[in-house]
Amino acid sequence: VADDFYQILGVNRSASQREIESAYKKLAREYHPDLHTNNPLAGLAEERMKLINEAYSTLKNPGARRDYDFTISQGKRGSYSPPPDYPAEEPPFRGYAHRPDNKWGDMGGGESGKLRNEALAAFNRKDFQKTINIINKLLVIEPNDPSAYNLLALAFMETGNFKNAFSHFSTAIRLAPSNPIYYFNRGICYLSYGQPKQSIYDLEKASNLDVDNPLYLIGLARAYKMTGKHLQAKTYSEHARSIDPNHPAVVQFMNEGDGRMRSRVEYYYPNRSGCGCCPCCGDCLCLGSCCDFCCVPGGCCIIGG
Amino acid sequence: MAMFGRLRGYFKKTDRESHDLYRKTYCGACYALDRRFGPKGRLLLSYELVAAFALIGSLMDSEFGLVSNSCPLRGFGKRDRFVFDNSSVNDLLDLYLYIIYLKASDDESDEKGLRRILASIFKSAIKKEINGIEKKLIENGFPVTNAKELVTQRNHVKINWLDESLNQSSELIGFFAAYIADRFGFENCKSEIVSLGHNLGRCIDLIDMIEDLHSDLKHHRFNPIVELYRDNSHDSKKLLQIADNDLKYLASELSCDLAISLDNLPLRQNSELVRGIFGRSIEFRFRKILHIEEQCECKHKEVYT
Repeated sequence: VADDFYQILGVNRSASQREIESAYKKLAREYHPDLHTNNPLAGLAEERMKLINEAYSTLKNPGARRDYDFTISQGKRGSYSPPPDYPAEEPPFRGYAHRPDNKWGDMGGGESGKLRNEALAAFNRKDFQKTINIINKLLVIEPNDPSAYNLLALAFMETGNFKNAFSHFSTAIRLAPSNPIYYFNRGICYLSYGQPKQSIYDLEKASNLDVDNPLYLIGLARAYKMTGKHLQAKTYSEHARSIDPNHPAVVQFMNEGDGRMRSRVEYYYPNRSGCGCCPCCGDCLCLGSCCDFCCVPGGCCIIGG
Repeated sequence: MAMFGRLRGYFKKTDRESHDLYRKTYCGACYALDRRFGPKGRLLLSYELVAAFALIGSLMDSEFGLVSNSCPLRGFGKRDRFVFDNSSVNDLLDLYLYIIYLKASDDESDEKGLRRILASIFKSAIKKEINGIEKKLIENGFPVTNAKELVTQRNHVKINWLDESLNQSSELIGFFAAYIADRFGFENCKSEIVSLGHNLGRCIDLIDMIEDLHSDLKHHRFNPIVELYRDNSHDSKKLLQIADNDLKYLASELSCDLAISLDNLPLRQNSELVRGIFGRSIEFRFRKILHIEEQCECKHKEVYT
């Protein structure tokens, strides 16, 4: 996030008051407007200094900092409250949910065809309330259209109304029980709601109906990872990678894995310059298990070094 | 259930500040036990209680009070210690005694010989106090029944993956963390604290599983590693070699989860103390039991105590 106060000061969320203060002093020495009076980039430095001052004034005050942490943690979670059993992280996976394509809009013709096209256009504009209104009209004419229920559920999911989203995905599944798309979408809905255990049933069902679909396999890997079942997650993600290593979901999942490793190394060894575990860096920080990631000679130094 | 003695503080030898803070917290925890349960209460001191006080102190806006006095157990010189003395601290200590009671119950049914007799004597000695504490815990919303079930749970069900069995300490520490968050007024970061509890518990379960392998084999007790990687030799070293890749991968991922949940905590102060107790102690224990240090040529290893 561009305006994250921690990022502006270059400290992590658990930084102590002393770390925050020293980061502020360091940045102030760099960006203070008095140091850039004859510089063409003086305006930029001044803007930056304002941001730095704002960040510091919030983070130096424990009460203000607590409020700020609460606000950003709420922003991260969206409009729902995840159950306390699992890490409160929203999976960046919703974008892979299947929506009806343009062929669906051309189906039927007449009034229902027009409504379908309008609903799709509204959904693509991210006007989810309008999408819901149009689909409700469409369902009066076509009460057994599973794609309509699917789109309605997706619109509810985007507005944070997960209860209605689950209900409409279930109706779509009841109307078309052999279509993996609706199981997959409901699985994603559970993931977004912070309930990976429930999502596993749906994602497994989708994966059984459409064997070797890398997207469904990555969905399963993600659900298992969220429940702490890392070995299962590894099996599914490696299977997905063997099918299509360039699939965007596969690439995203692997990059997130690298990001996790980077966070860990940075957390335990904040002042280090090398990642370790290869002939040029020194001791092994990855517990000897991440050879795809950093044990390849020359491909190692994720933290610099 | 073996969950004590894992969370020792690991700090750089040069980091005198963290060493001092740890010692003050340690002495404060010892005095708090004395004040709550009498001089005999000091015998209950464990690294986990010190870790809990360190975490609570780091999450609070201001530090606990500091006093200096001599300690009969540590010689005649005066030592600084934190003063943990309020109703929330009493609630925490009561819960701590209850957890120890549950562990004694578990040992009584699980162990043999002298350990069984000692557990039995300890249980009967604190039986009276436990009845009152149990009532109070129920009033305060602690899931006593679930905790009891978890402690007496025996993982004899068939498992297909190693990480399926990492739930006992995880859920128990999750309850513990939620209770701390409630009693000390950390509502804003409750999910982060619970998430830390879960991830810490998974790590502790994996460490127990590896460390107990030899004795479990000897006494024909259930151990998931034996269950999944069984061979004819019944040799713990050989079993660990067979499971080496999976164990290292799992340790690495669990350590990532732990680092991320620690990084998400909105710590107000003493972040290095928390990093050393909750993060590095687990990371270094994994390194030790998986013999990672021996396999690496450590060029610039930092020294920790």
